[in-house]
Amino acid sequence: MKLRALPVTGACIAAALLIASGADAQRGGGRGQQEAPTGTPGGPIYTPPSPAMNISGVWWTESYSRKIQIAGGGDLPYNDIGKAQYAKNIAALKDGSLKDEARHLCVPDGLPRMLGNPYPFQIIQTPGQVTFVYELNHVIRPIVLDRPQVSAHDLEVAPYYSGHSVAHWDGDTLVIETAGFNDKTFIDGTGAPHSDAMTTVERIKKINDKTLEDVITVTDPQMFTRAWSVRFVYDLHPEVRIEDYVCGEKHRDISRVKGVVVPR
Amino acid sequence: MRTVTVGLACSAVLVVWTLNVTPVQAQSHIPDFDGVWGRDAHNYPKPYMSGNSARNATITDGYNNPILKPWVVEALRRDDLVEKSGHATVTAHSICYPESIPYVFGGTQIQILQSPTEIIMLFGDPGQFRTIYMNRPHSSHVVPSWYGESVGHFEGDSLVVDTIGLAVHPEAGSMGFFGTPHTAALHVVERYRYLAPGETSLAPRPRNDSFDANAVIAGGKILRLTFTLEDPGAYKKPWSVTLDYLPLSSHIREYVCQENEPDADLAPLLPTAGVPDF
Repeated sequence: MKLRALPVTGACIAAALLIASGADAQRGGGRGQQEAPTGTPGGPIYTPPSPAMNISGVWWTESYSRKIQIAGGGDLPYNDIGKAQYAKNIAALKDGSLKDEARHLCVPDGLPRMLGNPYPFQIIQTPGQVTFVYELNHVIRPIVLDRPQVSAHDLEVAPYYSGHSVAHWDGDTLVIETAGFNDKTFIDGTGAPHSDAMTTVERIKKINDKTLEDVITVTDPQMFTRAWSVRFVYDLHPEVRIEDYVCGEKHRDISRVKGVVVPR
Repeated sequence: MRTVTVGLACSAVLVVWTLNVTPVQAQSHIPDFDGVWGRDAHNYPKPYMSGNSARNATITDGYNNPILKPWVVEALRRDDLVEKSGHATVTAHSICYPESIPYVFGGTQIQILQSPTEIIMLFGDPGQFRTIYMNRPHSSHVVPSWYGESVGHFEGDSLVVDTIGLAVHPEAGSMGFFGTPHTAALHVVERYRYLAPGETSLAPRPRNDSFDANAVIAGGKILRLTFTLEDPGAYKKPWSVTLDYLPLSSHIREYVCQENEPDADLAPLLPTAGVPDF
């Protein structure tokens, strides 16, 4: 099947063609393995099956909170171990014995902190994959659809800052399940800790054409008394191009984002 | 006041943007390069290297190549002397700076994410990405940046990418060790296409140290990248490099450069922020 580049308005036609082409289109014509009988390269440029499932684009939050704002309000439901670790982190950040490496060395923020960052990010949808690229620290989250999670062994021996993610569509909602985090990242800008046993489920959905929400539920029995959720909302910014981000360089002006306090 | 100023600035940008958009005629057949691609090397051959071998290529000779401007020879010699003295050479890769174009092609894995308006490339080894804006001309005033401004279009079965605005960043080294020294006037044109049936591949046999050799898709198409560098301030004539990539069934892994144990000489050179952005 050959398909020319389609504008958004061509999504319905693209959807029909994708349905007609079946699983091959979903798997994608790339990587060269699904060669057309003629031997010529080519295949569909992926267009999501419905406008509601088209979450591609540059997204940017309108507000930032240094302290994470959990659903239902209140503080993070730490157990005794979590409370002790949180107090330790706060004291160590204050006396300088602990560094917020995401801000000072520009390592990835991890989840859920990354989701609340005040810089724009981009989502790219391609056959079998949804990829998030973040301007902040230029973090990449390539998330494969409809594949099983890597083995428990791999999750343990190769933990990631951003965890290992798998995803599927539940109607118009993209569900991302993530495990295999390292324990080097904070929950938020206050230094709130989590353990490497943390798992997350994100439910990402378009509220309207220009607004996206990501509701993340965090489970970490080693640190918390119960699972808890946070809702992040982003606006579509087609005029924004993702820029360079190198630690210590001057970056985009984020003063438009409510709650941002630029340290002096 | 700030809001008004920002608003006016945004409007101006939008006007300029609108005036610049003259979409190239879309062709009816769009080649599909979406996927993960790998090549087994941590460098690429340059005309001033002896043997022209990608693997184990070092900048030890070839300095007499007449295309090199004297300052480029000097930069390469300096890197070489540092290396021979037992110290680590400063490279973008070793101290965690963006690897830029064409340096990043010294890496082993690229994932191409293809959409109608943009192509995003994820680079596995440095864990970095770049964006290629499709079917639009360059901005009238390109702001120099690490990865420059890339615009692309299709010519028949080829993807053609034109990049300018590649800033020079001495803090990331000469770019000579895996890439090549250049000035801010560097102009890079990349051409991607599949090898035709029967066409000979330059791709070396995969080894497990670069990527999982078992992930190579047997019988898959081979992607050929040929890039040409034009930079009168560094080279007396343009030169080209051809690289072949094998299709992989694996995925790009998380790569956090700062996690690597840096050489003692280099550790102080990693980019850091004394004062956080927010």
